[in-house]
Amino acid sequence: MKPKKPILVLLSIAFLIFILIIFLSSFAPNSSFKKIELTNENNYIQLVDFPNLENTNLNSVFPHEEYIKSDNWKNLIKINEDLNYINSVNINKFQNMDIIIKDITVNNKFWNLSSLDSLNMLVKWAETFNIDDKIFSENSPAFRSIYNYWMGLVAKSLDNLIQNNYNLKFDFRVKYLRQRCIETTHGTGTSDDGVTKIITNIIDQKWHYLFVDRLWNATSNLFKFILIIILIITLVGYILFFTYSYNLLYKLINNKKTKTI
Amino acid sequence: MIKFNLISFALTLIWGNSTPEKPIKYDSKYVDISTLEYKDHSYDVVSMSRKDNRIKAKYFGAKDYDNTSVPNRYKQWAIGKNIICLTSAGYMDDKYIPVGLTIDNGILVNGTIAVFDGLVIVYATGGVVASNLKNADLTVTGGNIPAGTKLDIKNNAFHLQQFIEWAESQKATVFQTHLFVYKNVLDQKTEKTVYRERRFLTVGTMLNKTTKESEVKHIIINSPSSSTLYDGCKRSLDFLNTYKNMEVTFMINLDPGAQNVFFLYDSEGKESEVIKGTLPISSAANLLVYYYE
Repeated sequence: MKPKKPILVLLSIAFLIFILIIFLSSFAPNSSFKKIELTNENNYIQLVDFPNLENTNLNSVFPHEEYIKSDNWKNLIKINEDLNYINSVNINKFQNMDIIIKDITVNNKFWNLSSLDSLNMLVKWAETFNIDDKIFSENSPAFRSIYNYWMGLVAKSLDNLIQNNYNLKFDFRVKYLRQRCIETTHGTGTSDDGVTKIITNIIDQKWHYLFVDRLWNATSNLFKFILIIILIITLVGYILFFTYSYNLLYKLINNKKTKTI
Repeated sequence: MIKFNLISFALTLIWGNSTPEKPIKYDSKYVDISTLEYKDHSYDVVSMSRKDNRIKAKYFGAKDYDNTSVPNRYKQWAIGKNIICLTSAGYMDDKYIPVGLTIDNGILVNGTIAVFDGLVIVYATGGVVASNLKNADLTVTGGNIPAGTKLDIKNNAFHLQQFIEWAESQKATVFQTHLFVYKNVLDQKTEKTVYRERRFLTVGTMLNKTTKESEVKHIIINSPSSSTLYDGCKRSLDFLNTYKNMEVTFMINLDPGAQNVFFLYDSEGKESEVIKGTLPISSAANLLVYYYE
């Protein structure tokens, strides 16, 4: 029987390591992004081909669908040309800008906001709009709007992803994208989960907040009653365990002494 | 000598981080601090009148561009000011970044629009207004925004950008938060599960019994009874409407939870115990300050 013991110990250690690997692998980041193609050079449209753009109600005649389907909106230079063209035929520059911006932002469903690869590409693309106002002075409000909108949406999407899968918070790709958002003044608004909050509050020694504000004031009477019962049972359990262990140890020592004598 | 200097430095650090700058005094006719009982609940109330424009608000939303913390920014600013009270106000995320659109003295701190419907604007002149973003009817004056334009900053990227540029030009301070009551109507979606003490900032109009004139009042209401946000808001609204005869323009959260920083001073500049936070000023990630000028 004796040779089996080391094997059992080794097997137990191997099992524990296996469990540890599985546990850690759930946090293991997939640290690279897949590349997503953005521009197809052949898919540009010319706004000059569309009639009636001088109409005062530009929104009703603007080719929204064609514009979103085209690659025009993907290219800053092309957007600038489009804005300049509309401004040349339609006097209401505020309206013109608003229409183009809406198509490039809220009406644009190109990006998959639940895919980290797509969000990474989106950040790269959005950052092309973060340029010095002097370069496209007249249309720069449009570019700043597009930039802020999409960076804000990336930040919000990251928070949504973390809310749905808290482990993602520790994924390198999420950390990287979050940091890029933060650097461009777009916080994600992500809060810690319950366990992390408790640990943080313990580290910060916020005892009053933990025990009085959260545990006592923020729970119902039923919860407090159940908690007290559990505490009493645990305490009684410990007392019984130590009493039994003490008695057992006492008996063993006494027996040994008796045998020695 | 070195040892003495180190000790005095340490004491300065400890003392300097535990209490704010000592305030001076203010005229008590503009501020009323009281504890009142209404329908079996106790309310600690700080009522501040905006009449004559003597009571003003200032909000510190985030660290400064040179990394000066909010408590230190406050301390530098507060020298010579007559402080009435200071409280943490906005929400912060796990990286201590304000949640939602935040602009501090014209500088964009966070450009991400959060889900909250409340947008609070603290003007450089000391006034405070709030807008319900759900209504898409935010209007501002000045800057490059055409007069009468109703901004929908939640759903329109151009409007959001225009608003940010307006705030920059006006050196305005802006933050987003939960809006529990707007135009005297309670938001029915307010959270109904977590129990704790509640604290709110309400702004509204009240009839002055002596002058019979309508006055704009800013009221901080602290309800020590443990209740859900919804119940706390409902009770407080009822208290303000019925007991105080106040028409509430808006009510926002002053979360007495993880950021329970609150200091109140009486008209003699002495710290009041009527409402007192549990944390030192050094814990403040943001601060809303009321002062007398």
